Amino acid sequence: MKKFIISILLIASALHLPAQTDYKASLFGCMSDGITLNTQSIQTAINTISSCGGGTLHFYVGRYLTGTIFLKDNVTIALHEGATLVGVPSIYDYAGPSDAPKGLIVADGQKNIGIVGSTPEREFNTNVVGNGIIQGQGALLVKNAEAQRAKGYLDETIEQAAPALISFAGCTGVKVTGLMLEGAAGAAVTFKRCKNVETARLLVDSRETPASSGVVADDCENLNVADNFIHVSGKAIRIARSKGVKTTNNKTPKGKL
Amino acid sequence: MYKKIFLTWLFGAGCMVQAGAEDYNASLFGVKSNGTTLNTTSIQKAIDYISEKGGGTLHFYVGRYLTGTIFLKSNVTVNLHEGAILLGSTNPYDYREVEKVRMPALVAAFGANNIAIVGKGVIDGQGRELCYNFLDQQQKNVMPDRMSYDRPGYRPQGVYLRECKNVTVKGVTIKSAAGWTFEPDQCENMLIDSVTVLGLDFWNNDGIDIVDCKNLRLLNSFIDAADDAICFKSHDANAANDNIEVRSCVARSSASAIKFGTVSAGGYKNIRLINNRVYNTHRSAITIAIPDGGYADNILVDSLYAYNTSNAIYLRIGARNTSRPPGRLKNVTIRNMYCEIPATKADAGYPYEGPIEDNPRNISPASIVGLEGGHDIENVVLENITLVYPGGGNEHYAYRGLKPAELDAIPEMPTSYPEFSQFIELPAWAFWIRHAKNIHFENITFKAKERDYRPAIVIQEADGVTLRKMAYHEPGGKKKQVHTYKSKNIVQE
Amino acid sequence: MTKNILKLLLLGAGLLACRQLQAKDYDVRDFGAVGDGIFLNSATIQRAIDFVHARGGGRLVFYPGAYVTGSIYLKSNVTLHIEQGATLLGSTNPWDYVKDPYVGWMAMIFAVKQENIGITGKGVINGRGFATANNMIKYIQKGLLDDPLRNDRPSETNRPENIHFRECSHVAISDVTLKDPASWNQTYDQCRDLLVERIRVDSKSYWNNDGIDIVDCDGVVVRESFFDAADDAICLKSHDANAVCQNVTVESCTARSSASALKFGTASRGGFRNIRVTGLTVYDTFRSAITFASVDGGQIENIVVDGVRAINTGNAIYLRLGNRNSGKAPSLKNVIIKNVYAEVPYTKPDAGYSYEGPVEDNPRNISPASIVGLPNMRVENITLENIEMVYPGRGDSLYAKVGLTAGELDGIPEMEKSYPEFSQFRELPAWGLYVRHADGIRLKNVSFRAQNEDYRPAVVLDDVNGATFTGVTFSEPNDGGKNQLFRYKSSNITIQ
Repeated sequence: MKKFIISILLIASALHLPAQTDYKASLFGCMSDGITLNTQSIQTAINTISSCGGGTLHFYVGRYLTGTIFLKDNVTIALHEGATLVGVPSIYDYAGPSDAPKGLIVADGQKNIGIVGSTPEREFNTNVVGNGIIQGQGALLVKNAEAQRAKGYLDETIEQAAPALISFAGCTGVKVTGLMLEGAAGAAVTFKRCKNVETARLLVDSRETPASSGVVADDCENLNVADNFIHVSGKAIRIARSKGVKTTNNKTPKGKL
Repeated sequence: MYKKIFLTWLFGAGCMVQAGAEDYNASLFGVKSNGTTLNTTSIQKAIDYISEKGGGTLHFYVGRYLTGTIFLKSNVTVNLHEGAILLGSTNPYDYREVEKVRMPALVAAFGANNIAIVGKGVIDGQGRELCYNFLDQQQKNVMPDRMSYDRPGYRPQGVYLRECKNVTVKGVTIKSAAGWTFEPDQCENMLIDSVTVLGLDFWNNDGIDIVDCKNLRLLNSFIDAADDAICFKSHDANAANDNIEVRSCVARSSASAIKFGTVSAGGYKNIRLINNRVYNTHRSAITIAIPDGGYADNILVDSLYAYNTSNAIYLRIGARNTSRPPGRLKNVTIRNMYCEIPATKADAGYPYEGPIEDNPRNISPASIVGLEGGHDIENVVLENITLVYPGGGNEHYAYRGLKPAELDAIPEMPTSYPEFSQFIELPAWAFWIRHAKNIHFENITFKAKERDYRPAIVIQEADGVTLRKMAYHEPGGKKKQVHTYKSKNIVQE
Repeated sequence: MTKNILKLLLLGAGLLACRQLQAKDYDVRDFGAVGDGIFLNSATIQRAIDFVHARGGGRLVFYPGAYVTGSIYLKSNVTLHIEQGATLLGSTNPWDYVKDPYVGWMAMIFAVKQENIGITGKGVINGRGFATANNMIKYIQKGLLDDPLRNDRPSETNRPENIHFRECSHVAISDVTLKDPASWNQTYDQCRDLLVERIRVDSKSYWNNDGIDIVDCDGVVVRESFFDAADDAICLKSHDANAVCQNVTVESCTARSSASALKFGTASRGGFRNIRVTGLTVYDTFRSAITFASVDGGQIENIVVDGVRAINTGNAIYLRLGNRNSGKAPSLKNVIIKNVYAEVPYTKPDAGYSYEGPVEDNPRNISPASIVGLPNMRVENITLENIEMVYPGRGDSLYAKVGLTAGELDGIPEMEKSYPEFSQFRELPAWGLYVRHADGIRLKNVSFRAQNEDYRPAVVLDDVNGATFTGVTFSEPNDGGKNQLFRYKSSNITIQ
């Protein structure tokens, strides 16, 4: 443990960064133009923040094109109003945890991580508030995966190739709240072997592909799924082999779940 | 009437005076067309020299002319011939301000008379790279900036003309500024004709901002912008936009295509918008907002065609500035209008797409929204209008019912930024009216492609609304399409 | 030695033949790559390479278009074929590049421990290094990457090269144009059987833009290629004290450099042997046409340079032994340089090029060609034959002066630990050739021409044991019959 602390100190001192926990995406060169592929810039940001002891990476209004990014210990991504993480439609830009679906935002064996939409003061209350957006461009992705399969370049099935928006495996202390999740190629959110998970105030709109599920959990512990509106082509909530599950006030276009 | 003709004559004559007699080629002043030589001082010398000699035209022929800020001077015409590109430097330190208002720009003028920018050439601000260079300097704190929304606040405009008289801008393309693309501010007697304005290179980049101008015509132009495309503003409480005509233009925006506001310190009067087209626009085809005091009076919108545009009309009085009483919005005529509203995002795929916000809500209606306490929007005529909506409003996604409590619960939001989507869910699918007086609808068609849980029109807290020759098309059987609440003198014919 | 060269040539031809046998072509666009100059294709190209590799190999073809990419790794039996009109465009975002943990460098195209690989076709690889390097500086200044910013630039290993191949065998690079890296252009480190032919290098986009770096390779042919580089153009190095750069042929190449055109070193830990350079054309080059330096304990031996034409080049030949703390004795011996014509200008030869070489080591008059060992580590057995060197003369003793007195000659510093550069001693006492601490020097049919008067003699030999001058001529206007060959502390000098 001591060694660990020393190594963190070393990194922090090597990187001349002032001690802080809030980082703006532009510091790392992330571009909000919707055209620049930001995968490595965002990954660099996450790695840096995690190695400096953790903190929040803030994205402000804009469209941030990216392939798979891996969340690391003690890092939260905050998507402020109008900030959109846009999945790149190229199928080979995605990866996943070793035993869970691929995803746009992936974490494998990390602790204390989150993706949150900001919750500005509203003058009145709506039942569900979602700010900050993740767009999967699922229809395009599936189309591209099918084309690669037809040419014989892709051995994976469409289900294996199609990434979820969020795929976490073996993580502890997870927060996914206050987001609009749109157009997933796979499921919108999937958790495997995760503990202490909060999934709340999501607006999920994922109908571009035939069987996109909303929130999927397998083998999890202490899972809270609350106040979500889920409009998907597949199953809204699918939870298996999990303990300590609480689902409250979740809705679909047909009414309360 | 006579007065109007006289004005038009005056204004035409004014525009003709300026072309000076002498012609000068840029090379005479050592200006280089190679795209790498920074020409700021040579071009400025040329303009100063021509102006001192009594005026004339500075000709730029095909080539790339790199430059920082240049100031236009009286009696000088800049002619950018076909293939000539005035290229903005990407170095933040190559830019200067119009000092009175601290506004930096690539091409600037202050108090110059008889000036013109003509020709088929291009003014290219190289704004994206310039913005990133500003951002870099600001992040390192070499150049302090608030950096709100993680962006540089201080960014040079493309063309900024302040307190100029007798101005012509004709034929040129103005593009890729770091800030707003083109802003005439407190100018008089100005003609903008056949220009192409492209403001797609960074956030908040408006197309044309017409600020507190008098006698201005904007004709035959194409404007495509990340933020508002054709935008009237009033920054000065003692000034106003007066006698402006916008005719036969095409506008596309990731915000609003034609907008009055947001800043409305003084006001707008005698504005005519005739035969304009709008497409792929994220917010409103036309929005008139009076959120800061000030006034809008005598506005004519005739023959406006909008395709794939998220909202047709938004008229709004707000009260962001609590030190002044709310402003007035009256005498607006909108006639011969057609607008198609999509179910999907209207500006998808453009750079700097407008942000998705104010969710969850079903498709928002066109709206006329004053403020409580007697601040009604007055005398609005809507005539020969067809609005086509996707419908499909789903009450489980978002719901705003017609019960008194539900309608009363819609917030007034006087201090909020005025945007058609600001109230989130509204109770009508086509038109919503609140705090308005003397609103006249005639020969109006509202069409929903799918059934919506809401009625077409909700009128609340209004006085004097006439609905004449109305047609509603919505699949799924008859329903009551007009709901009124706390209103009087409602006439339906 | 000739046999070695023949072997190499055959091997080159053999490589080509092999390449044509393996047939399958894959269109990179089929994998979803987009050549629009905007879309970042790294992941897609990598997947395509992996796929072709897994299918037994073939060519991954880039048809016309501009394909933006960050780091990719080439795998065995895969050739990147870049058609004329196609460009591999380096991303300008430094984070899109990997600093490979094994080789410790950043690059666009890596290959590590692969065999039978290549980059072919008349297309372009453009690193866009100016933008990338400057973006890297921004991140360093913000504290996101640790770099001392020595000379206000990121270190060479924190800037991407275009190509970095390590421990690969059977490598063929042909026909491509390599442009504008952020660091060195192309490094081949400990590779075997490398053929580079008909390539064009345009490498002036940032500091340290070497043209080609061949490091500790065995079996290399570089031919019919053109190099224009801000730093050394054709550069052989030896990074590993236990390895040697050997069996290298450079033939029919043209080089322009704001440093040296053909250079061995500076890193010279193991050494260089069995190297043959023929038909080299050099122009507008700031430092030496040919410079062989062993300063890190390496052995340089069995080198033949045959046929060099150097026009407007700051120095013709510089051979140097030094000792920069390697703890190992270096050597430089058995070098034959023949059929050379060199013109040294009075003005700066690379003036006007981007990233001009820095003016330094002044005041000095025009420096002579030099062969310089150390008192106890001597250069041995050097032959210069059929050589004509044209100098501007104009050496002015009021500007800088080292005369021929014992005190002045002994006062020339040894500089054994310094960076080896022809100009390092500042003023030298000869205008044509300066030899110090060397044994067995043969000049045959060598002509020294000064276009103007110079206060110095043409040749100074200092501490030379055994030298033969056959058919050596001097020409200098108004030299008043001065002694053009000055000997000091030297023995066994024969003049025929």
